[in-house]
Amino acid sequence: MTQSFKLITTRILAALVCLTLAIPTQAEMRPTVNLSGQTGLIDMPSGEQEPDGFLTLDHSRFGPIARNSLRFQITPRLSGTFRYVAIHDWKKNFVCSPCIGADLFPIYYDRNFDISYQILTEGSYLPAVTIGLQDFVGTGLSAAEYIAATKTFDDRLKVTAGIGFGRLGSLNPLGSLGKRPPITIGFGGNLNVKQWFHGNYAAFGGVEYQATDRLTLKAEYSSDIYSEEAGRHKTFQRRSPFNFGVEYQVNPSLRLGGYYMYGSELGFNLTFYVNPAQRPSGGIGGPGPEPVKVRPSQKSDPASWSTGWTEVANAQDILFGSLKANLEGTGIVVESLGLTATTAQVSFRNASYDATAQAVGRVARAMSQAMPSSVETFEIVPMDHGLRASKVVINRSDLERLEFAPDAGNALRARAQIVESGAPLPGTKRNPELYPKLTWSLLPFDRTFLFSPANPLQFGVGLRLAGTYELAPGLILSGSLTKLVLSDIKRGGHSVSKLQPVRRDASIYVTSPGVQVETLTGAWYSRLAPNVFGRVTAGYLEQMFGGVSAEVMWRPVNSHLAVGAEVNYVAQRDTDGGLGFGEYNYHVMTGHISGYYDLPRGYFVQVDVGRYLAGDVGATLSVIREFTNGWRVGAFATKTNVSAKDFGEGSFDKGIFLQIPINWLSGRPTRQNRVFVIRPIGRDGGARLNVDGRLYDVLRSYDETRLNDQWGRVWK
Amino acid sequence: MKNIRPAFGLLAALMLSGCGNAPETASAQLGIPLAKQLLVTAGSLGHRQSDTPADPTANPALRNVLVQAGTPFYGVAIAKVQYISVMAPYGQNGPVQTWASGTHETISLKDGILVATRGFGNDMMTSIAPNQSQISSAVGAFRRVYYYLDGGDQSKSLEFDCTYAKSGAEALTILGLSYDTHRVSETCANRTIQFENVYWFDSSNKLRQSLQFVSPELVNMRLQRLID
Repeated sequence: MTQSFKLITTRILAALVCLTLAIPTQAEMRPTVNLSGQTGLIDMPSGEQEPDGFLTLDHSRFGPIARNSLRFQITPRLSGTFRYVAIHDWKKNFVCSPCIGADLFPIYYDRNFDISYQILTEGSYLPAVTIGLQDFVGTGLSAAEYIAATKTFDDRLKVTAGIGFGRLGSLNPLGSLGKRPPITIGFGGNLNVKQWFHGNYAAFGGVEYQATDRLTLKAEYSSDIYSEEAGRHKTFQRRSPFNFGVEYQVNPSLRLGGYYMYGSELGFNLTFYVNPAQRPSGGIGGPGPEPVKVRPSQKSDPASWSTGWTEVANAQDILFGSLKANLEGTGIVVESLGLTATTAQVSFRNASYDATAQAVGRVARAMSQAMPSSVETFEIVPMDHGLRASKVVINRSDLERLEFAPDAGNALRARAQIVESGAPLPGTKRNPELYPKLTWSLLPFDRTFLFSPANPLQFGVGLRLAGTYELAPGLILSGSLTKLVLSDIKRGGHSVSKLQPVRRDASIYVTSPGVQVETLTGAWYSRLAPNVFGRVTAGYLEQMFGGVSAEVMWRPVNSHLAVGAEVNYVAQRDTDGGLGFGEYNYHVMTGHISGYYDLPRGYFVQVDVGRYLAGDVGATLSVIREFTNGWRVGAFATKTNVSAKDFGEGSFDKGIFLQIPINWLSGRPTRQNRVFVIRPIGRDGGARLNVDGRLYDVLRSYDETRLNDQWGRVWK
Repeated sequence: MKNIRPAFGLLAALMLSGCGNAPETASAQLGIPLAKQLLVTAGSLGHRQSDTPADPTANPALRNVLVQAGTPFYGVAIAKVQYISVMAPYGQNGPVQTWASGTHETISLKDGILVATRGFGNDMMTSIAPNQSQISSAVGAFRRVYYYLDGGDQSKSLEFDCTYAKSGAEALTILGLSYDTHRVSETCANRTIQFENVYWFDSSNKLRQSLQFVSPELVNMRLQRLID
C-alpha cells in the first residue's frame, strides 16, 4: 500500500472518528456496502439501497486491489458511487515492450462512476430489485451492468441473486445478448452506451446471515473472472469463484469486514455510514437566548405605552445603545435602527449562526428587551456584504404570546412574514461604530491535488493572512497573502496544449516559493432595485486571474428562482504570486447567464451558460441535494465547444462536491463550512473564474426557502 | 510523503489557535451585561463537565453565598452530561418563569414544572405539561407533548400518556436544611420510551425537589429549590 493510500484512509478516519457516536445498534438487518462501495454482498452488488440521503465512505483492499468509494443515496431509489481504484503489482508479473498507456505505471489507478436504481422495493413476497451501471463513464475497465434481487427472511437471512454483464458476466456466461463492442477508451469520460447490457451475461449470488445484532456472515458466488487483474497482469491468483466474509457493526456509523477472496487472498473493508440530514449531536448547542421581555398590559400601565418617547431628542441613540447591549457577545452586530412610534426596523449582520432564523430570533428578543411598549411591529433585516437581503416582520405581541406555545416555531412562522427588504424607514440611523471597519485573520489553509498517477494525493498546508476593510455598507477592500509551509505537491512544468493553461498550471502557482498575493480586490455591492442586486469586483480576483468582474442578479425573496448575469474581463497572473501579468500575456472576456432553482424536497439545480476562461463556450449543469442543516451534496458537468481531443483525458469537466457545515460535527453554532470538490481530472476546458462573494452565495442564506428550512431555530 | 505527517499536528494546533478579529476566529464568548453580573457570581459556583462535579446540595457553605445574593435560586443537575449549576430568575412570561445559569443555560418553569430548556443542545423547545396541582394531588392522567428540534433543525414532537401515584415520605436535606417531603411519581410512556418523573413536596406543599424528563438525549434533570 502506498503512503498516499494510507494517507487518504488516515484523513477519512480522522474526519469521521467524531461521527461514530454510540447510539444503540438496531437489530434489524441493514443494507451494507460491498468492497466496491455499492450496496451488496462482498464483491457483488445486491438489490438493496441505503436509507435516503445516506453517504457511505468505504476503504477496502483484497490482495493487490484497493478501492476508496464514496456513495450517495441521491433519492430513496437512486444512488451514485464514485470510486478510486488502485491495482498494485500491475507490472510485477507482466512484461510489456513497448509499454504504453496504463501499462506504464507500477500501480494502475482508475476512477469509476456507478449509478443504480431500485426498480422494485422489497415487499412481503417480492424481493428488492436494483438495476445498476458500474464504471459507466470512465475508461470502462471496471464496466459492468447488473440486475440484482434481494429478499430478507425473518430479519436474519438475506438472499441475493443477479445477472451481470461486462466484467460481472465474465465467469461461466449463461448466454449472450448481442455483441459487446470493445472498450473505446479514447480520452475517457464517454458514456459507453453501446456496451450496456450487451455481450455475455452470467449469474451471481450469495447469502448474508445476521448471527448477532452486530455480526454478519456473508458468502457469495462471484461472476467476475478478473481477466485483467488476475488474467493478463497476474496481480493475484483467482482460484475459486467463492468469497466468504465476516462483518462487524462497531456502531451505527462504522462497520468492519474481513474476507477470504477467490480462494487465495485475504481482504478487509472499512465503511463509514453518514446521515447528513441529522447532526450527530442532535439539536444545536451554544448559550441560550435572553427570554422575551413581556410588556405590561396597556390597561395596567398606560404610561409605559405612551409614545412620548418619540419626542425625546436622543431616543434613537438610547434605544440603539440598549439594543447593542442586549446583543453583545452573540456575534450579531446591529447595522442600523429605524423607528416610528409603532414600528422598529433593525438591520444586522450575523457572524455566528448558520441558521439565519436563529439570528432573527435573537434580534427579536433583544428588541423586546429594548424597545418602548408602543412599538408593536418588529422589522428585522439581515444584511450581508452591505446588502439588505430580506426582511422578517414579527408582531411583538406574537413573540410575547408564543414563546412557550406548543410547537412555538411553527406557530410563530404562521404569524411572521418574510418579504423583500424594501427601503429603510425614514430617519434610519446607521451604527456609527461600524464603518470603516477592519477585520483580519491569520489562519491555516490547505491545498490538495488529487489523482496524479505518480502520487494520487498531494497535500500542502500553509498560512493565510487575510484582511477586509469596509469603508461603507457594500464597499469592501480585501486581500489575502498566503505562504505554503509544508507540502509534497509536485510542481508541474508549463503545459503544452491547444488550450490556454487556465487551470492546468495550478501546481506551478501553488508551489511558487515565497509569500503570494492570493487576492487583492475592491468590491462594491448594491441593491439596485427591489429584488435586484449588483456587484462589481476589481483587482487580483483569484490566484490565477486578475481583472474586473461585474454581476447583476434578480432574486425575489419568496421565489424558488433566481437569475443572474456576470461578465468578467481578466488576465492571467504570473505564477510567482506577485502583481504581474506578463508571464502568459493572456486575457479573456468571460461570463455567464446563471439560473438557480429550488426544486421540492431539498433538490437544487443551477445552470450556467456562457464563455469560460479558455475562451470556450458552453454550459454547466449542477444538481445538488441540500439538507436543512446546511449539508450540500452535488454533482456538476460542463460541456463546452472544446473537442474531447483538445480537452484531453476525461473529455469534459465534471465532478462531485460536498459542503459540510462545521457545526454538523461540533454541535455549536458557526457559519463555517468545509467544501470538498472532487474532479476526476482538472483540465482547462469549462473552467470558471473564482470570484469571492458572488451574489447568489452572499444572499442564499436569507431567502424564504432557507429561512423556512431552519425556522425552528428562531427560538434557540 | 513522510515529511507531511507533522503537518497534521501543526494544522490542528493552528486550527485551535488561529488569530485575528474576523468573526470566525473570535471565540464564541458570551458577553454579559452588568445587570446580569450576579448570575456570573452564582454560576461560577457550579461546574460543567468537570471530572468530579461539585454537588451543590453536598456543600452547605454555598447557602450563605447564595443568600447574600438576595435572589431565589434553583440547583440544576443533568446526570447524563454531568451538568451541575445554580440558576437565578431571568425572565417572566405569564405563568412561565425562566431561570439562567451564569453560562447562559436556561430552564423555563410553570409553577415548578419544566416546560422548556435552552443552551443544552438537545433542548426541550416547548411542551404541554400538567399543572402542579394535578401532580401534587396525584390523581388522573395527562397526555404530555414535548417539542424538539432534530439534527436537521426540524420540529418534532413526542407524546406520552402519564399517570400519577403517591410514593411515600422522605426526609430531604438541601444545603444543610432538612425538609419532610411526600413524593409523587409520574409515570409516562409511549410506544418506545418510558420515563418516570419524581416530585418532592415539602410540608407547606411547595415543590422542593424534582426529577423531570428533558429529552431522549439528556434524559432527566434534577431541580432543587435552593433559596426561596
